[in-house]
Amino acid sequence: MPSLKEIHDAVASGNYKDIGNLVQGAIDSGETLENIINNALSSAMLEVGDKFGSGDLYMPDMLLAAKAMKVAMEIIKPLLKGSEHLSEKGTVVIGTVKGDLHDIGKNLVITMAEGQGFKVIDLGIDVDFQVFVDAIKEHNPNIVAFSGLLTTTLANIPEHIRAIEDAGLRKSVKLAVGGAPVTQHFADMYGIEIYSPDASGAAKEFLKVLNK
Amino acid sequence: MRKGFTRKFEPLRVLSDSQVETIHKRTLEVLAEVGCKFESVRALELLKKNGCRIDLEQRLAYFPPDLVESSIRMCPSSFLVKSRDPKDNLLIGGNTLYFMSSLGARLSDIETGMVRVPTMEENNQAIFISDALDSIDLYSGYTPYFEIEGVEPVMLCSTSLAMRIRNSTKITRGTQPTDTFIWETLIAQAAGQELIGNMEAAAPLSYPEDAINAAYTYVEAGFPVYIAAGSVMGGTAPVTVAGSTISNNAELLAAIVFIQCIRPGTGIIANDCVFPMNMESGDLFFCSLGSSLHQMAFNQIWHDLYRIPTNNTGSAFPNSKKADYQSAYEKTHVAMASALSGANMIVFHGGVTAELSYNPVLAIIDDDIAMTIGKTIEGFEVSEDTMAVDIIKDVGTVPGTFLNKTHTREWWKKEYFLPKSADRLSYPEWLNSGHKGAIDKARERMEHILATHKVKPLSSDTDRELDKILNDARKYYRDKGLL
Repeated sequence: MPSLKEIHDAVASGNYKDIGNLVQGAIDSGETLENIINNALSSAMLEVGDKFGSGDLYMPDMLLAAKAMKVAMEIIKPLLKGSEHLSEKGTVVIGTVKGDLHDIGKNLVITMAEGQGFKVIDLGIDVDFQVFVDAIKEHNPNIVAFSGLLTTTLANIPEHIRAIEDAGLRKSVKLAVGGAPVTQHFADMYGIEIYSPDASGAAKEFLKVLNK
Repeated sequence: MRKGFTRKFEPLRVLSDSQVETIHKRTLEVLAEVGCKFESVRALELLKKNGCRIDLEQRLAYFPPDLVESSIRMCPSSFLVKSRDPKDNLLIGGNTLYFMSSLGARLSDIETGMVRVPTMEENNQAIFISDALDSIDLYSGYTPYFEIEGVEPVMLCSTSLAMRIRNSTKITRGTQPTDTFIWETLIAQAAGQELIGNMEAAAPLSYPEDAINAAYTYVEAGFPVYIAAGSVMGGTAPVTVAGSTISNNAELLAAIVFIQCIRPGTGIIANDCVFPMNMESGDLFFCSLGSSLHQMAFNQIWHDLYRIPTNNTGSAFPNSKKADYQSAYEKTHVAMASALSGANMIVFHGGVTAELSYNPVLAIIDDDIAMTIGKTIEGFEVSEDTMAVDIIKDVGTVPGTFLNKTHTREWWKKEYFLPKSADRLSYPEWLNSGHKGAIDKARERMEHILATHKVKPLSSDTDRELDKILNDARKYYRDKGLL
């Protein structure tokens, strides 16, 4: 029977080719799903996030770990029932704002947030404000996160916020913003509750705000 | 006034002929099999009419190799861009090298690294200073700052262009976001000058609607177009130099086919704006070895095989936050490699702190570096006069000297370059003259420029016309809910 440590190590090293067999082997041998999730997969992602934050791992390491995590969850998710549930920390709707086609930073935030137990709805790039509004209505998220790389497209963020306010949804969500030209000052200017200068910090900020 | 530099020797080659040929063939394979996304039905239909296979639902165009190669041949190897003052017209291509001013979002204090949003007066002053610097021949879009106090972001590009035209007669490039190309084209035409248009991809292998509409507008105005892909090695392109060269070439060649379909013979400047990703953070790794090698390969392929003028952006922004040793070595090694490998244009002056900031004092120091690089590619003359054998015979052995010869007086000025901001004093002189360094001397030069430089003003009618266009733009964006 594959041990939890082997599963943990496979995720932490981004071994997406073997993780499926390891997880399936553990399930077949009677290991509980919650044990696999909490004591192997999530802990591996937390470790990878911390090592990335300290400069011991790099972006490809983190993305490969996320890829392994995804393979594992594809096996586990259909089997979850009853008391065996994913202890999701909350739901995040995220997208790159209208006019901007950059998604590396956004995808990194998604990786880190999922690794920390958030359910993430990815709206993609060049997202119109109405799409954000519709996604809030559909998914009832705790957090709505705007990503933008271009200074010129940051100008569209107030429009996105106004649309959420006009739809009467502003009080039901916390807003987050990130991207190279974004500053704490920018976030404060528009009353955006969550800002982080980097992706690994973003997921921690999500947790902090929801725990308040 | 100097107008660029002319390379007097063969460019440095980093690839063998067979490697160039292989990279080209594999690029054609990508364009034929993967294709390129164009977020515009109008563009896709034009490409289809010219021989591309189209998947309208996926917005994809697949390019037959023959069409790509015939489109390359339609691009002129050199062309003239007209300024509002003919003395600043530029003939782009061939063996010429021009330097383009760099840019930054904000104004930085180059000694502390702190940045802030510049005022309009500071923006205009920075342009005016660039106008006075001999080694700057043209401006990027958004130059010098892409944030200006009191200017709404959606009005930034058009306002910035109007200010460049008011405060300088040098050639400038347009931009593409949020329909700004409409207003930039009108502004340039009102001032009686040509713009270098702009079409930037969203790598990998995609062109957004803004880029396509910008290309239509600029080409229909008769302007040449500056094409760029802005790939990130390891992110939106393969991490390797060879792989990212192929994906970047495919993106740019797709644009070339499209532009030549709109108007055959349109002048193209192919920009290599490819940076490695800093895998520690996901940020761009500016002024890096990866950029430098990529640009050298790019210059060789586009100069030798495609014969299309090139621009290099790799030395535009050092990672350093200050005007310091790191800033100088990062920019210089990349720009020198660009110049030696045949770049026609290099983005260089004033950028610092990745692309976050700009400072005119740094642009003045960069003027000295650019002059040194430019003079390097001009090489030196080998003639009876410069070999000076008669003088060597005349001087003979010790105690002979060359110092009192008219030949020395004439040629040291021709072959040497004396940087204006560098400290070259002896130590006692330096002690006695206030311990000044390059930054102090650049500041003095800046004061001198501000006190003495003159720019040919726009007529009051033209000036009013630019204001009218900006007001029309403001109304346009207000009607669209963007202001």
